[in-house]
Amino acid sequence: MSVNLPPRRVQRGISLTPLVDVIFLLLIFFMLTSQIAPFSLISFAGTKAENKQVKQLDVPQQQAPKLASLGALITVINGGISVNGRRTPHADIDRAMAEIRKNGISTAIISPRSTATVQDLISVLEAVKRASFKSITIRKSG
Amino acid sequence: MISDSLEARKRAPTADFSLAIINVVFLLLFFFILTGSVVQRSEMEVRPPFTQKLPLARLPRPLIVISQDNQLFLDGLAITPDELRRKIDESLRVNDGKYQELNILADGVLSAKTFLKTVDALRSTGLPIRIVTVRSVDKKKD
Repeated sequence: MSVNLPPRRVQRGISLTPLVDVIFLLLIFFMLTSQIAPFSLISFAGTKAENKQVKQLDVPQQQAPKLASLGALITVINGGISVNGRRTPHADIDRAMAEIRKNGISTAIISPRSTATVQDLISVLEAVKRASFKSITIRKSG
Repeated sequence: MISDSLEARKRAPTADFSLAIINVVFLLLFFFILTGSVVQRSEMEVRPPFTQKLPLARLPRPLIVISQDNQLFLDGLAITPDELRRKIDESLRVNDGKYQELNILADGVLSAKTFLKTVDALRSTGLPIRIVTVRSVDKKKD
């Protein structure tokens, strides 16, 4: 007695399991090596005309009073700024900048004190750029 | 005699989740590729200064990191100021276009004067300088 069975059809197909493994590995790689952080950039110095250039000025301490005649002298201190002797915290810096601009002053001279940090300087730079000052100068010494 | 009328055993159809898994994993992968920025370990240890209203940007390269103790890193590798200057000068001399601009990520608590000294040394290269910050939606008010 013979049994005639139909030929067994071998199912050929691409196994998707290794593909999922590879994709998972890539995913884990990017999760571990990348950082999702909302970065921003401030142009500090450059040769491009469209960037608001920040100039640096080296003025010795004895000539510091002359700076006020060049524009608004903004002293950066820890936690805020000081303009004309009046201290303003970072939270109110926009109002202080608006007041300066209202007086028709379009040049800002930023003078960081020794207690000022990079965060203080950046906060002031951001506020000064938001206030659309035509010229921004940072005093190097003092 | 058993004729060839044996039919393949019909299996109950099972739901195939592999394609759905691949879809989800691909989406996650694309999300991390598009929104993430690959960072080096030394760059993650620096706390960048915060800004509030600047437009978003990807983490740029080349990236010069200035840590809290004034250590310099170029794209994750420790470097001295002289070596950094030498690399930039060499790139400019060869004109390979490797350094079109300099991006600086400084620790927020670093002294502003120290930061400005470092930046001043890089300004003489003539390359545009940008400061990298992190956008903060709800900045703590001082």
